[in-house]
Order: sequence, then structure tokens, then C-alpha cells
Amino acid sequence: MQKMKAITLVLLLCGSSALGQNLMSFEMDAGAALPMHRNVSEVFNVGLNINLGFAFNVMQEKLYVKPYGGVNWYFKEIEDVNSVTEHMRTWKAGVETRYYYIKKEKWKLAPCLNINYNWSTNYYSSSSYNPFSNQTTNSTSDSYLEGTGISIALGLRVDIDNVYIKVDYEYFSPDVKVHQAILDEAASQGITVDPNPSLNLSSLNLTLGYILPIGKK
Amino acid sequence: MRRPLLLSALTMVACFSCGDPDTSMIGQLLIAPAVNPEVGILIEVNNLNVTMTDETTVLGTGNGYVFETNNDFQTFQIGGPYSNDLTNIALMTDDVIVSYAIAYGSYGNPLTIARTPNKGGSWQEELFPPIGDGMGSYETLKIQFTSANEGFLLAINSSYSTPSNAVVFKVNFDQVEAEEVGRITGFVPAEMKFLDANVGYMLLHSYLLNNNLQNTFISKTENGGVTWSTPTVVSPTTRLLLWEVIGATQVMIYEANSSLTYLSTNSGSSWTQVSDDIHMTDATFLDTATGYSISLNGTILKTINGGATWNEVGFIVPPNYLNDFDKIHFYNESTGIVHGNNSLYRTNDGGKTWKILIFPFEYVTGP
Repeated sequence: MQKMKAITLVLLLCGSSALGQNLMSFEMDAGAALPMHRNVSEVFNVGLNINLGFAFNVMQEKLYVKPYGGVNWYFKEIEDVNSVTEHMRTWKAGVETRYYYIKKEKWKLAPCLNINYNWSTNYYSSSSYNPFSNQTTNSTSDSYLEGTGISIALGLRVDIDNVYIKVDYEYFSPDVKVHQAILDEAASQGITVDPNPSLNLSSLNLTLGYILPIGKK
Repeated sequence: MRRPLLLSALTMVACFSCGDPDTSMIGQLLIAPAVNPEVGILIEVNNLNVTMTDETTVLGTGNGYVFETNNDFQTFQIGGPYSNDLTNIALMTDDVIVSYAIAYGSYGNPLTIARTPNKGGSWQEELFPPIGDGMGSYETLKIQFTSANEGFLLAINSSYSTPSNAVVFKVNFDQVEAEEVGRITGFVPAEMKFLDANVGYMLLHSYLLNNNLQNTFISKTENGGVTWSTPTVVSPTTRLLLWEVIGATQVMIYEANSSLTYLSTNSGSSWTQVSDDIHMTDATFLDTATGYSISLNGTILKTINGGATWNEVGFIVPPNYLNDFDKIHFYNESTGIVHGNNSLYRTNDGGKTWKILIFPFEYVTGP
């Protein structure tokens, strides 16, 4: 409930400021997420990072606030047969605040601060093809690791016309819940596993984005 | 122009999203062995014999070694192994451990008894003369030491022509002497337990017509095994082998599979059958009222009325789901151990939860 109030407040602020500037845009970026801790880097080399949101001009085309949602998605095929793939996926919803302190004719530079709430899950998928029925069956496993929490990202963004490049470091270290089947299997082999360990899922994100103006100046 | 650029970037990321197929996020979890892998030395054969000497100290024997730990086997001291092939190891007192060889067979086999005063550091071995009077065969069933030097030996004396007899010898280790002190004629002995140097009980069976030893009797001594009461019948149709001498007049006799449990509070003169579905495989008592037992399925039960009623307090689920516990011992109402099938568990909360201390995991015993 408090989160909703906060988001509404941000939107109202954006709206009131935008009356003067009348500027709002839809932004989408995608790129690579490089894991920064061995918790992930030993498992995945690189992941996919996609974000979508509406940016609001809060102050004289310098300060922008962007509520947005996105995903950090690491995956790798571990078996050719049936394309068994491991996934580490984090859905995120948050707010980006950026301030353009350098503006040139063609480009501008802004530091960015992102605060997100995240839902992470680790699971496996497979797809099998039946040549007799000519059908492909996709299946996914239970979530073996699940965790939620807040992440903070600091970065820089360079805008060139309607395209931007962004690089940020996102710190995210949630306490995850280990699936009971994993705990039971480990116990049967005489191994104890912390049922709620902390995993460092921090990443360096490098994305290329596109700005679609919606309002007019 | 820009949209193809975005698509290219996405495609590139998708292509590069990979990693070592032999690693996984699950593999990133911190793990620890449930038991100290070094305990494997104690469980080469299934002969764990364990007790608690205080709230934290576990003392026992296994695979010829004497072991002691006060930190749940994070570290443990071992003595031995005792090199001779002794078939039974028992705790004499908290510090003195006795081991003995049972002379199977007949006609005057000597009896070897060894004693260690320093928890397996060294062993004093004595070769006792053959027990018995030469009339028929004598087979040692059990030795129970009531002090660091003296104890009682139970033997079965049998011959082709006469019914079996239960013979009790008093053993003096220092004098290397096993002297017959009493016998019960016409019965097959199964067990003997002394509460002290004078009071003890014997569990017996009898060759009844068409009965094939499917019966249970009990006898009591109050003078160090010299004289024994006339055996009284506990069950005329069931061969019971498990029992617990709770106090000077309280005895409980039971059988796990059939869940028969009999209780006597008058030295065996009369018996009452305790409620069914207990299936206990071993029991231990802190005093004449409070006791604990473990059942066939790993359930821990507690009594506070000398065994008349039992209530579940917890259970043990072994990693291999094989419940094969044959011993339970509690030091006090919080701390206790259960062992059997090459495994040892400990509780610190009165039996509600149990921690594995010894278990034959593959990393413990080897492939």
C-alpha cells in the first residue's frame, strides 16, 4: 500500500511539473547484465537485461523520474537433449531518477539512481519434440531458489537524440528460500544446506535504449 | 536504423548468455557435511555402544576403538583399536571399559576379558580359566560389571540328557577369577541385569511341551546371584527378549513387533499389559517414574509414571529412511542419544529434535 502511495506521489509530481514543460516519454532499453559476484558469475557468463518505463520531466528537462519494470535474465543450456536450460530470472519494478548535468548539442550525460523491488527465481526448462505428432512440449521445473528484495543501482547514461546508452552497477543480495526437495535430497546424502542463504546477484548492466517522446514541449 | 541496432544487441546478448554447463545456482549454496567424515573409523562394523557421561560428553566404543567427544564429534578422541578379536565391549564405569570374548561352543574354552582404564589407550588382558564344572557345555551369554573390578557372568549350561540351566558366576578381574555363585535349573537364560552388587533379575525361557521356548519367565536375586526366586511366568505363549529393570521392584518386558509390553511393580509377582501400538525397541529410565523409549518407526516416547503410559515426544527420520535403532539413553530430561544401524543421534530438547552425529554416508564410509 505504501509503495502504491509513493508511486502515485511521484506521478503527481511529474504531472504538475510537466504542465510547464509538457514532456513525457516512453523508454525501452535492452542489453547485457554481467554478474559481479561469483554466486552468479561462476554459473552464467552474461545475462539479458530489459527495461521498460515512462520517464517524466520533473525539472526543466534536467531531472527525470522514470517508473519502470524490467528483468535480469540469465540462462544457459546445460543439455543438448531436450534443450534443458537453467534460468536465473529477476523481475524488477522500481524508479529511476536521473539528472542531466552535461548537455551538448547532440548529446547529454546524466548520472542515474535506480531503486527496485525484485522477485528472483532459479528454475529449469526443457523442450522436447515429438516427431510423430510434430509437436514440441515445453516444461519448467519448480523454483529451486526464490528470493525477493530491494536493489540499488548507480550508473551513467548518455543520450544521443532518441537513443541512449546506460551503464550501471546494481547491488542486489537477497535472502533466498531453497526448495524443500533440494534440502531433502542434500540431507539424504548427509549434506546440510542453509535453507535461507544470502546470494549476491549484483550485476553490471550495459544497455542500449530508445526514447519515444509522447508529450510535446 | 536504430531498431535493427536494438535487435542486434538483443540477439548478441541472447547468444552470449551462457556458462559452464557443469555449474548451477544450486551449486553456489553453502553446504557442510552433516557429520564429521572422520567418524567412519568407528563404524566399520555395526557394533556402536554409546553412553553419555555428562550433559555434553558422549563416550562409547565402535569398531574396536574407544571414543569420546564433548562437541558432537566436531572433534573426538579415540583410543585403540584393541587388537584382539573380542566380541563384546561394554562400559564398566564412566572411565573404565571392559571388553570380553564370549567362549562359544563347549567343553572348557577359556574366557578372555580385557579392561582399559584410560579409554582405550592401553588394555589389560586376562585369560580366565574355563568356566563351569565340566558337566555339559557352558556358553557365556553376558557379562555385567557393577564396579571397575567385579561383575556377574551369565552362562547357559546345557547337555543332551538334561534341560538347560542358567548359571551365574561372579567375576573378579584383578584375581582373574570367575566363580559360580548360583544357578536356576531347568530354564534357558536370555538376559541378566543387576541394579547393584546384590539386586538383579534374570529373563528366562522354558522348554514347555509343544511350546518351543515361546514363553517368558523372570527371576530375582537379592543376594548377589546366590539364590534366585522361583521363576514366575510373564507370558506363557510369547518369547519376549527386550526388558528394562526400572527399579528394585519395577520391571518392564516388551517385544517390538507384536507391541506387547508387560509391567510389574512387585518384582515380577504379577504383570499388567501396557497399551498397544508402542512397538518399542529399547527403553531407558532416569528414575522409577521418568523414562524414554524408541519404537520401530523411530518415534520417541516418554513416560512419567514408570512405563504405565507413554506419550510421543518426537521422532527420528534417518536419511536412508531405514529405522533400525536398538538403543536409547538419556542423561537427563533434555539430553539423550539414540543409536543403531551404524548411526548415532543426539537430542538437546528432550527428544523433540535430533541431530545426526554418526551415520554411514558415502563420504564417511567411502564408496
